[in-house]
Amino acid sequence: MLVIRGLVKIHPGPVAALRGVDLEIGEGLFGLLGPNGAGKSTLMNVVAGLIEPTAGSVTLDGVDIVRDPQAVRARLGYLPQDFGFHPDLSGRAMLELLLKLKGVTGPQGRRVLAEQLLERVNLREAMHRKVGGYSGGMRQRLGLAQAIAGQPRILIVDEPTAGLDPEERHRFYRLLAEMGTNRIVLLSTHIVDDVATLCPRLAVIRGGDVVADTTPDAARGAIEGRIFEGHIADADLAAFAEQHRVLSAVLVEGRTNRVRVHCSEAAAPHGFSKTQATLEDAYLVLMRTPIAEVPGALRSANVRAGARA
Amino acid sequence: MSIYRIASLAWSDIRFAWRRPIYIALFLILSLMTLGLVLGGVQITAGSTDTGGAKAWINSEFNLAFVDIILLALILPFFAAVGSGMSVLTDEDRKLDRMLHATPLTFMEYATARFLGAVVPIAGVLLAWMIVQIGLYEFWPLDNADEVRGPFALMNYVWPMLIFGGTLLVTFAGTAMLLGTLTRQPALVFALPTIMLVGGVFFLWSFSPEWLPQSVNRAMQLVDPAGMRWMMETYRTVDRGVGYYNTTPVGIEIPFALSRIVYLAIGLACIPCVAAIVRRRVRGSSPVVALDAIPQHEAITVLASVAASGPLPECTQRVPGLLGTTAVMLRSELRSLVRSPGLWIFGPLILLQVLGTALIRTGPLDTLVLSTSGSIAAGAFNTLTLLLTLLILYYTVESLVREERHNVAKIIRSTAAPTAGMLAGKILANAAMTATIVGAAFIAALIALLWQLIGSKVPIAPELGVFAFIWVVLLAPTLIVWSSFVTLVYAAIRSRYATYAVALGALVLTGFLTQFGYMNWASRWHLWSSVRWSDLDRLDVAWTSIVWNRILMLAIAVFFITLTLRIWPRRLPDIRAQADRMQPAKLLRSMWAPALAALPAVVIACGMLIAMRAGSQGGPQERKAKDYWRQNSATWENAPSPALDSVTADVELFPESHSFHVKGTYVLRNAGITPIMALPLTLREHLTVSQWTVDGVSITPGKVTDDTDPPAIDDQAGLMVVRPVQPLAPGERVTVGFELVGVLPRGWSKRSAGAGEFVLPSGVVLTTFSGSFMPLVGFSSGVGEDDDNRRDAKDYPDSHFEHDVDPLFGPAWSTSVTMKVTAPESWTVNAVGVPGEPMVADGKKTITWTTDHPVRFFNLVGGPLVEKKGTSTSVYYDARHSYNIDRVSETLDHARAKYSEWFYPYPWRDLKLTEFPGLADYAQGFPGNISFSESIGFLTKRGGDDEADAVEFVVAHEAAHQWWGNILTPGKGPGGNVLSEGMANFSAALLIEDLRGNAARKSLMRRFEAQYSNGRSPDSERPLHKIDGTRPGDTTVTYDRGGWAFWMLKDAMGREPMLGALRAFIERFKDGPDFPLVEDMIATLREQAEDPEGFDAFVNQWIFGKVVPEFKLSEITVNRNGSEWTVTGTVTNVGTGTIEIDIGAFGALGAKPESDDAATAVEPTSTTRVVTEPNQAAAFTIVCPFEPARVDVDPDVRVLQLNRKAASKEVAVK
Repeated sequence: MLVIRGLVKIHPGPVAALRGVDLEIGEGLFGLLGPNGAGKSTLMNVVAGLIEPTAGSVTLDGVDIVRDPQAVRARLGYLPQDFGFHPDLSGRAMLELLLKLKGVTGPQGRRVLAEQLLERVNLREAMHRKVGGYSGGMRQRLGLAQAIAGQPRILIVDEPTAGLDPEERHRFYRLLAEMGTNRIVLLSTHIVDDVATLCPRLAVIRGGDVVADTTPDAARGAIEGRIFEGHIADADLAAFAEQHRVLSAVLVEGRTNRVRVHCSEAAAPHGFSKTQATLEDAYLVLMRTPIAEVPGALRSANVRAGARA
Repeated sequence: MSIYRIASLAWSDIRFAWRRPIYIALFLILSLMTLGLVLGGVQITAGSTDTGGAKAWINSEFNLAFVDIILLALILPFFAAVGSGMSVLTDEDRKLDRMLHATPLTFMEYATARFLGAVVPIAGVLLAWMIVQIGLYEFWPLDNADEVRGPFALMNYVWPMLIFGGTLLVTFAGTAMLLGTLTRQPALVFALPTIMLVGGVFFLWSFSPEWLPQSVNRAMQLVDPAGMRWMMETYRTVDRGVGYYNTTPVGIEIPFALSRIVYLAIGLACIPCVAAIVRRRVRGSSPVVALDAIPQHEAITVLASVAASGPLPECTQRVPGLLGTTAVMLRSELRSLVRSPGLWIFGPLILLQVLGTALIRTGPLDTLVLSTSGSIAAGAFNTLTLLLTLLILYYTVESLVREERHNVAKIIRSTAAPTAGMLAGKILANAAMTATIVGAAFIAALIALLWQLIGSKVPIAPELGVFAFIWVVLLAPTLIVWSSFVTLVYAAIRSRYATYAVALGALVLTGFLTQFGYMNWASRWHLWSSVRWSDLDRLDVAWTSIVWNRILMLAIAVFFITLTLRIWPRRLPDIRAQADRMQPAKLLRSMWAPALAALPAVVIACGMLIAMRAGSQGGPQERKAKDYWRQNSATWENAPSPALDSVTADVELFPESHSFHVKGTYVLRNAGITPIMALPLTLREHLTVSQWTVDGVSITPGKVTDDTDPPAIDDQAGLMVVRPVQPLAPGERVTVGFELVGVLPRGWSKRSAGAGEFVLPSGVVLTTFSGSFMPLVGFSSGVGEDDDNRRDAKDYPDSHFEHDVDPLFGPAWSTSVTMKVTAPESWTVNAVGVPGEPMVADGKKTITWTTDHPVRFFNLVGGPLVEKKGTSTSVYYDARHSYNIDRVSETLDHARAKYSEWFYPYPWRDLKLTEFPGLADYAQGFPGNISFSESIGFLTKRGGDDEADAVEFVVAHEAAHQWWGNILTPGKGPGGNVLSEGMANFSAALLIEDLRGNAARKSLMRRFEAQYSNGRSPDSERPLHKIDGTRPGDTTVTYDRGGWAFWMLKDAMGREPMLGALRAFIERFKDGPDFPLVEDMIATLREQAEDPEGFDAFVNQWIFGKVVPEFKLSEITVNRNGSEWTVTGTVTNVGTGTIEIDIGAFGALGAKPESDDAATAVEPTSTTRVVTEPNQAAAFTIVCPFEPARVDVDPDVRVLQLNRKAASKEVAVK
């Protein structure tokens, strides 16, 4: 169990990256949603023992990570958002180096283990090439390979699908799903679909605050029946947005905007029809709505720690 | 090209440059160094430093150029390299390059902007520094401002900065940027500054022996990017006088100007090269391959998501410990280092440097010295230290930032591998790098020894243990403490450039403190110039100091490492949490480990400081010496001293404890005409007397008052004033007895690893010059004298020589000495006089020495030596140094025979020459007992048959002191020392000519001439009879001009008349009590001159005057007339003096002017003689029966002159 209590991180500026985060995360995939700059990566870095928080506590299975970050590192797999590798090393050599630093080896040796891991992330054919020549997606896969090595107790992946093509994203989803069966997997992303697909639980961070700690179903259910979709001409969009709570407006084929709004049935705009709520809608409601006005059901699913949706 | 785009991009660097630590550091370093120089009064050393001499202006263009060159050459290239070398790399690291190259910015504009972005801030720093210079040099309050400050001229500051600073800046900024971009190796960015610094300090800026061909010298001047060599060779080798330097601008000659332009062009040419490299890198390259040859991608039929399913590979995890992580990191770093071109550049660099230094080690008289393992290792110690500290700086910083640069830091830091292991691995990898460099140095050493074997036929086996000891055991702590310091700095400030700035600043500060003598054994982390190797002593003299210094450095390194681990940013700290931890209680709790780690270093340092304090150079000893001077100088400096009629002493040496025991008696006699109430004896600080007697009565020294009954001894801060029972009447004697122990060297020195006199397991040197093992009779004026209390030189009247003059050194009276010397049985210890039969008992050997002819001073010198018996002399030497022993012995035999024939029969039965450990470089001639440092003579590389080699010269010179110094002691006063050293040089030239012929004599005289030319100080030079050793240049005048003057006098008088006159001179003055000066000698010689008028004319120019000619040939034509060739031309003396000079024409088979090697003799020759007046051309005509190829002035090297090499011209028939 990963327990986060009152976590605060203030950067020089001052900038409050985290404003008192409380979370309890059990085994399985846990999604962390939020816009850029919300504090997701900061939270990840604190949990990974890379930065020291200003206040608060983080414990993993009862061990205080803030006091003793070394304690988590032995059980951690970490894929940061922004990372690189030594460009002069081959993919396999780089992975082997990281395996050595982690103290991980396989029954047939570290080299074979490295090759097996690279096989899982579809890098086997490129394993002899220098990392300096890898594409962004290849680097991402190599990063994943080192993160999953060693059967970590907690796996932190920060924006993991950046740079991956659809094939690879699916491969990645499968891997993560399997990883989540008996360990804590913390997935940070601003791609709602990833969370919707993978995570039985999620939290939404906005401006350093946790504005929602719920499940995808609960989040969708909280706004079900209150999402309407229609089309608005570009010229009318601005005026329309002033009168209604617009969640999204997508310009379709450059001609008209497909608009989704959040409102009661009575207040539904003319020509708009009720549509099924998505997790993205729920996320956007959380982003657009002052916290005090967010429905309680949307903010919390009353999910017991460790339970799955 | 768009100037606007260039300026915009460059401005993005320039506008924040003022905040960058690297530029702040550069400004601070330059400004503080300037302040230190102004406060220290450093300027061009021309003019007398005493009152009455003209002073050099600190704000003259010459002085400013001089200072600028030194400071900028040492510092600027590194900062220029850091500032510009990594600019393109940084863009790549930050992925900024992609954004920039996606704009209309061309690659040339980009490279130009990055170049300007680095150069302009540094130019701004230099401008700011120039303003600081103006403030300090023009306005800083100085005591003697009127003397040392000339009128303000802005161009004095601007011109040198532009010429020297501008060139360095552009050259190194450009080349560093190119190297960095091309190789992507940050460490290589520093390659060129490092090469320049190491090559400059240890070779390019200092190597200028007399035999170096002028063409090579010129080339070296032009190649030097700093301009240092050009400045020194063009303007400083021959001192042009204060007036010149104060008012003349630094003239830039065309070749030098062109060389600066070339360097500027090199620097600027790097910009388009950088642009081309970046262009190629961004655009990529397309190999020429047929498309069909490249297989097509197949469709992926298996669902990726299915392929990814299944259990993860089986694995186990065991968190690596310290050793495991260290090994992993070490291998990773080594792999990177091996690929680094830096290693392949610096390795050969050090190999060449060590090889060059070992092959062309120069000793006295610019002669080559044999290299041994120890001398090579110690000789290269400073070079290795400098190079490796710089390399470690680069590689350590780049290694520490490597993970950041490659953006893999987060992943690596999130593993459980311990920080200590990661750092240890990096440090060990750097250690492997340094080991490789040291390995290259070792290979160079082996090559040098092999080359020496082949070239000089001297087999000297390499001693692996010596190399390992000096280059590993001694050097390693320096590198470890430095490496840990750099790591600590980075851990604290976490900025690559700021770390460079701080570390470079630390190096500059260290250099400053070292240069001005502020570092001692406790702070001398680099052991710079502290490894003084003697094959005999093997660092024994400073062993304890060195060992504790190394232990201290390791202890400091442990502290640094502990502190580094404490603050290492494995996890980026939170500022508020950090502030919270700074509360005293929490701080103490968190810092207990570093504090504990610091404890050993603190304890050791304190112990060392205490030991230094208690040693011979410590505060109490210095105060004691000062007290001696303060209490006694006024009363006793000119008080009459008693004569020492006889000395009886029993001396026992204890080399293992550096000590000795002496029990002796002095018979003192009143040699004056009035009674003496008190007889002063100086007791040096390292001597402890346990018993005094006066005429057999035991006396305890103390404060003597009027109530004290004589006999008594008044202890006046080390001057023991003996008050006999009755005042000593003229001719009366008193016997003073003493029993003492001494320790020499006593305790720890502050920083020196040498010693002038000592008792060590490697040898003993004790003399009565300094009172090192017995009390000195009289007051010793040198004890306790320093810059604060040193009096101006005494002003002697011109008629000084007409009165009875005291001896220049030693007492006025001769002494008979009986000395029983006990030393280890295996030792040979020589004293003055004739030895009795040795007695051996209990592992010790005792010999009683008795003088067979009175002496004025005496010594002990010896050690574990073997003997080489000559015809009439003996040489005692270390068995390992037999290389030159035959020549030493032969020369000494010859010297005794010839000098006895020429000057005076040698009065002492034995003449011995004894080697002592090279802890000091000198030779000293005591009566019958000459002492030679191992570094003089015994290890000199012998020259060719016709060259005067230093072995023979030094032996001849020192042997001559038996006559000029011992048999005849010169008088105390101006010119006195000329009769000792000048005559010794003259005698040596006579002997060399007798031994080896005229060619060897000429070679020797040319060396004297070159030394005089290089070392003289025209502004303050005085005639020979006025030289008192207090002014710059006095030494070379005494030795070299003196030797020359007497040689020319011999030619003027005639050889036999001169030698006869010298015999008469010695006979007249050898017994005192009037000791002669130059005037006395000239007067005596004149009595024998066949042409008194000619004699006077010569003497008035060369002895009582200070003429020195310099000849220029011009208008030379050669015409053939049948079988004859006629050479005509003019020779002008552009120096001083009316000089009769030979002009010689040489045939086509002639050798170069510098060489008189008989093997390629310049034959045939025709000469003529002309008389030259100052600045007047004298025509000459030489008729030759051969086709002439060259014309030389003074081909037989008979007239002292300046710039001899220029007085030679190649000629051809019209």
